[in-house]
Amino acid sequence: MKKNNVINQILASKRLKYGTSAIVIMVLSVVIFVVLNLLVGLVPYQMDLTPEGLYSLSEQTKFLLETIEKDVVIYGLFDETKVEPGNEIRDVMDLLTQYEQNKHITVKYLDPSKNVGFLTEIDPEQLLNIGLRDFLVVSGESKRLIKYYDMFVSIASESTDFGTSDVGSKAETAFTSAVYYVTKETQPKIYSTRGHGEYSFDTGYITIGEFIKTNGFDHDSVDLSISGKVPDDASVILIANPKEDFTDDEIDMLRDFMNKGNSIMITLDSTDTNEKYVNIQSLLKDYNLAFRYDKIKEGDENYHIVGNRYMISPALYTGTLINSPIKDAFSNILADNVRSVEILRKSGTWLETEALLLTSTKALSESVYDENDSQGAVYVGVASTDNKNDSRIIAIGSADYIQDQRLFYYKQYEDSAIRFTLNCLKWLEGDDDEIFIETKNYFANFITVSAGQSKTISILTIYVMPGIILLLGLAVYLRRRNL
Amino acid sequence: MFTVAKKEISTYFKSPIAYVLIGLFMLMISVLFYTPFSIGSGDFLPVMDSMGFFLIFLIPILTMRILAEDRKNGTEVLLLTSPTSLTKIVVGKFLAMYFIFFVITLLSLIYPLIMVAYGAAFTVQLAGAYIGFLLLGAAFISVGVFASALTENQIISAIISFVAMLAFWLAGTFAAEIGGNVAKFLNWISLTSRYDVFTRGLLGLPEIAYFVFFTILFIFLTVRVIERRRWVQG
Repeated sequence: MKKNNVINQILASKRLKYGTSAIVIMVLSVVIFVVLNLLVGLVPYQMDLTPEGLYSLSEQTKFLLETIEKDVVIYGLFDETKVEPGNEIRDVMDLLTQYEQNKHITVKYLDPSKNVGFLTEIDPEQLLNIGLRDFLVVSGESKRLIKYYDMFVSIASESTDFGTSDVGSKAETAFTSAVYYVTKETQPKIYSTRGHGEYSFDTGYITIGEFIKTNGFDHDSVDLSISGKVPDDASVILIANPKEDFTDDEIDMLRDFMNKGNSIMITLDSTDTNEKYVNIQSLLKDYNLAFRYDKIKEGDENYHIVGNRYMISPALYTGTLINSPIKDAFSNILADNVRSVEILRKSGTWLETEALLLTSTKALSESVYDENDSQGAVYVGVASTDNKNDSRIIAIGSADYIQDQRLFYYKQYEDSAIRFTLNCLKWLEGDDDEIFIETKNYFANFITVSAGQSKTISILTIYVMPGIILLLGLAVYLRRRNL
Repeated sequence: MFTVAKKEISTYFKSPIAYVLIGLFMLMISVLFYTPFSIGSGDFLPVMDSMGFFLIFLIPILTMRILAEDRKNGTEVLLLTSPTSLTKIVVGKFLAMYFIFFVITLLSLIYPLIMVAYGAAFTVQLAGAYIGFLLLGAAFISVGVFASALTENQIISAIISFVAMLAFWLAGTFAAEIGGNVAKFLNWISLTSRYDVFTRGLLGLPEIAYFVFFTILFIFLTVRVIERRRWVQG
């Protein structure tokens, strides 16, 4: 009886009655909080406020994504739940949400340590060298690996001896080109020649080689004297600043290659050697072109850098033959040791020739072999098409403008030089769609402050400003105490 | 509601506590600000990352007495029996705390403006980060007000809110260590992960909604805690 009374008292107590209802209400409110957030999460709208547009897609990427018809899966090879706040990979993950807006693109994250079977299936011979936090872009049988370090622009850090710091993002470039690459029916391959002391994608042209790979091309190098023929899978041959001429046999191989409707790009610096490049000139002659044996000295200060009239920035010659990509691509390249390219007066309506790069009218063409200098505008880059077999050739009177060291020391010209070259290669390959996505360099918000100014500001902010506020507090305290 | 807020603001500025808190917060920002400024950087965003963390120390001291003191002094009964609704009283007290926080935020703008005076750009990204900071402050203050409603001891109130804020702040860091579904949950509730979105340059609807709902939830819970006490105590 007494026991029943106690139970009744507990059941009738305000504590149980109102306490229970309060707990229920609190739990309900938490549930509503979760549900509301989940509902808003269904509309994951985010506005990109970064000056660089780090989380936005460029018009070129949007255009490309609209054209794809194959399904693409982008695998992030890491556990996305283990990415700590503030990690730079989160920027990449946020950018990828923009790619996911396309119905053909899916983004998945896989922890490699827990999905060994998947990796073995994707890369049975371990040729891709897949690492943690890399990304793999897959469409059908076609796949492309994006290394973690390929998504950022890094420079040697000033604060540590061996470290690097990121100064930009190449993520959009990497993903767009990978999507472009895996959805293309065939991947064009560019070969650089070897055996004549020229630059190749392994030496001197490493930077442009990397950009070529991230822009939907494959590349390799070939020594024609060893291979005996131009590789069957070659779409474009790049001859970059050979120190000696090609042999008759090599030129015959290149002619055969061109007769099949393929293309060549030749870059050649001005030299003070006696090399005459007879065979290369004969090949160029087929396309109404010739390299001159001169060195360009600019007379217009708008066309050369301060203090060096041989280091020139030629203008784009606006013609009609080549479609917009090359012309749109050009802003400003910087070249040293430049020679001119001559358009010959060879008859033949099947040949169409158009200038790409032009000096000012004040330029001086200094002859390398004699005293016959001449002044006036000259071409330093020309494109030519043989409409009989649809082969194309581009001759640039400078190999230096895209050379690794030049790009390293004159970083501000890198984007233009690479964009110009990539679009030349794309035109040669026959693809007029431009997909070059510029690197997004992090916004550099620098200030100019002297040591004295820095000291003054530090005194004002660390001592004076908080000190005044604390003194105000002290004054309030003393006044209140005396009331 | 605004009468309550005005009274609380007036009380705070008539005592040294508001000045001490503002002074100490400015000192902390000044120390953080000096390093990038002295090496010629006009980027204030890294400082804002740390400012968010400093709130974990500032807000508990700011809010510890807001409701606990009423209970200790026995003036809570007066509040409960006043014609103003309990919700309005709690919101009024919250607004008072938020006003002081807003003053601190306004004062912190001095630093990026100094950078602007020396040639830096005041970017939209920084404005977005400030929106995030204001939202983070609201969320933290709501936790502080809630903690203050739980006890009559101001020190215990400060400790509760400090621990709660630290837990919400560190959830994202723990998530990175754990992984899996638990990590997904921790990332979801983590205020660091949410605030990080703003400082990285994104203005996200889910993040804004999370902070707003979070603040409303804790204000609501505060009202329920006091309401429950009123009924239980009769």
